[in-house]
Amino acid sequence: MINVKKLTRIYKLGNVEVKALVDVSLGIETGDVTCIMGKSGSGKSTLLRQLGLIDRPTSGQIFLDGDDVTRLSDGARSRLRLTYLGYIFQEFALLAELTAHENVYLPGMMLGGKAADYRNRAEELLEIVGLKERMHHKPKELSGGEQQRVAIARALINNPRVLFADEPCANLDTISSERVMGTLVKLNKELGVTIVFVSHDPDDKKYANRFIFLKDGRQVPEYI
Amino acid sequence: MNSLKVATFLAIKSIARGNVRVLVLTILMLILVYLNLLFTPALLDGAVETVNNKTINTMSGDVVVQAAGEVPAIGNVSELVSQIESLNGVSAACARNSLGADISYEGERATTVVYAIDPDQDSKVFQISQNIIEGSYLAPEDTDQILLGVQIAGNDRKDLALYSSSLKSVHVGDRVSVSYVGGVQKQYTVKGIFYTELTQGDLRAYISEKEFVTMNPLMTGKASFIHVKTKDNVKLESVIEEIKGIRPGLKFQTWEDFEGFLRSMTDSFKQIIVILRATAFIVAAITIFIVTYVDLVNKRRQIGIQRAIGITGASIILSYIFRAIVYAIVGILAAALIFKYAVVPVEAHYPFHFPFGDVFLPVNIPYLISSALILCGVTAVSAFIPAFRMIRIKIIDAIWAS
Repeated sequence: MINVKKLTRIYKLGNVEVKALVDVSLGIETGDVTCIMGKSGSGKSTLLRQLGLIDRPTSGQIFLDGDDVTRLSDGARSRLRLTYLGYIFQEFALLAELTAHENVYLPGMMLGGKAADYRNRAEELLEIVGLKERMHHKPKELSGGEQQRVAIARALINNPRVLFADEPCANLDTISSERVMGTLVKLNKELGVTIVFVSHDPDDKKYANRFIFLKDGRQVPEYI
Repeated sequence: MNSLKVATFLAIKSIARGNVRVLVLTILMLILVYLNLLFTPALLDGAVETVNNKTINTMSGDVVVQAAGEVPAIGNVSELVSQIESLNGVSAACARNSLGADISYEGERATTVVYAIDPDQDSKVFQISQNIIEGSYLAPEDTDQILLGVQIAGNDRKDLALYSSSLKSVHVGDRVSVSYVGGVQKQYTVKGIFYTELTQGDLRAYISEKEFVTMNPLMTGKASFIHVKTKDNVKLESVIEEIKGIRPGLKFQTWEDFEGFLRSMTDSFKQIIVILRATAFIVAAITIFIVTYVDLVNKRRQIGIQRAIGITGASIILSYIFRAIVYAIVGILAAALIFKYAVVPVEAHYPFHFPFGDVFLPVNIPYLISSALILCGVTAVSAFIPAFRMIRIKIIDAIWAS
C-alpha cells in the first residue's frame, strides 16, 4: 500500500544542514497498524509528515498503491490528503471558531456531496469516538482527550485509506491516552483503516503489528 | 464550487464567532472611509454646482452668441431673439450690450462694465431680479436709473470681498456719475442693488436698453451678445448648430467657455476630488490589509492545519476576501444611511458658506454606487494580497515554525 525508497529529508537552519531522515525505506500493507518509534529527535514526526504528504522529502520516493506521489503538485497532494489520507496532529489541532461537529464535517464539505450526508456522517463519527453529546461545543470547551478524539473523527470524515497519527497521546493523561489509542485500534478492526502512528513510549507497542524504529534519522532494527 | 461553499462557511463562522471588537472597529473604520469618500467630494461638487449655476443664472445663460470677425454687433437682433426662442431646446433668449465705464460717488471711483438690457426679456434668462437686496429691479422705461452690483456699490458692507475698491456707501436713491469709455458722462439714480454672491457677477451694473439707445442711436436693433437659456438636458451643441442654421457667421460660447477663471477653480476642485478619493481608497486598502494580515499571522497555524486536512488554498483566500467584502458592504450601507439621513439634512439646515454662496451637499447616486463598488474591489484586493502570501508558505512552516 505504501512504499518508501531511500527517503532523505534535510532541513537547512541558516548555513547548517540538519539530516532529519537518511535513506529510510519501508513498506506498509493495507490493514496494518504501524508504529514509528524512536527517541526525541530521531525523525519520527519528520517521516510521518513525508508519508502524510504534508512535507516534501529532499530525495527518495514515496509510492501510494504503486503510484509515485513524491513530486505531485500542491493541488494534487491537497486532493490526496482530502480523499485518501487522514492526519492527526500531536498538538490539539482543531479550528477554534468551529464547533466539534463543524470541525469534523469541514473536510467533508470540501470534498462535496449533500450537506445532510456529511453532517450525518460527522455525527456518526462523533458517536463512534464517544462525543456525540458534546458535538456543539467549541474546542476550548473540550478537554485535551476530547479534542484529540474530535481530531480523529475529523480525520475519518472522508473515509481515508490510511490514518496518520503523530504522537496522538503526547499531551494527554493516561486514561485519555488509553481511550484515544483504543479508538484508533477499534477503527482499524471495525472499519479496516490502515493506521500509522508515531510514539516514543515502548508501552504503545501493544497496539501495533508492524514497527519502524528510527535513531538519528536512520532506520534501525530495534528500539534503542 | 466546493471551494466557494467552504470559503463562505469559513467567512460566516469567522465573522459570527471572531473577535467582536475587531469586527466593530473594522466596520467603523470603513464607515468613516466611505463617509469621507462621500462628504468632501460632495462638498466640492456642491461648490462646483453652485458656481456653475450662478454663472449660468447671472452672467452667461447656457449659450452666449456674439458677432464674429470684424462686425462689432449682431444686427436685427429682435428678429434673431424671436427665432432663437422658437427653437425646440430653447426656453428663452435675451440681448445685451455692454460698455466699459467708471462710476463715481462722493470721491470714490470704481471701474465696471455696464450692461444694457431689456429688463423684461432679461429676467426670462437671468435671475438678477431675484437677487435685489435693496430697491427694485429695472423697468423697460427707466432711462435715468441704474442697477448696481453690491461689489460696486459697497453698500456699507465692509465684509465684502472687494469693498475697498467699491464706491463704499452707495444706497438706493443715491446719484452716481458714470463715465463711459466713449467719453459720454451721465448721472443716474441708483434704483436697486443686487447681490448674487458671485463676485464676478456682482461687479456689474445694468441700465435699460432704452437708455443705451438714447446714448448710442446707431446701436438701435443691435446687440453685443445674445444669451440663450436652454431647457433641461438639452445638448448645447445641437442648439448651437440650430442657431448657426438660422443665421450663419456668428460666434458661440457655452457657459463653460464663459466661466473663465472660475473654470480653473472648478477644475481644481475636480482634481482635489480625485486626490481625496484616491486617498480614501488607500486608507481603506491599508485598513483591510492590516486587519487581514494581523488575523492571518494570529491564525497561521490554523491555516496550516486547514491546508493539511485538505482545505484548498483558494477556499482560504476566498474566505478572507468574502469577509473583507462583508465588512465593506456593512460599512458602505451604514455610511450611506448616515450620509443621506443625517449629514445631508443637517448640512441643509446649516449650509457651508462659500464666497460664491451657500453650498449644499448633492446626493449623487451614480457616484455613490461607483465609490461603493470601487471600495468593495479595493477591500477584496487588500484581503487577497496577505491571504495569498500566507497560502504560499509551506504547510510545515505554517504549522510548526515559530
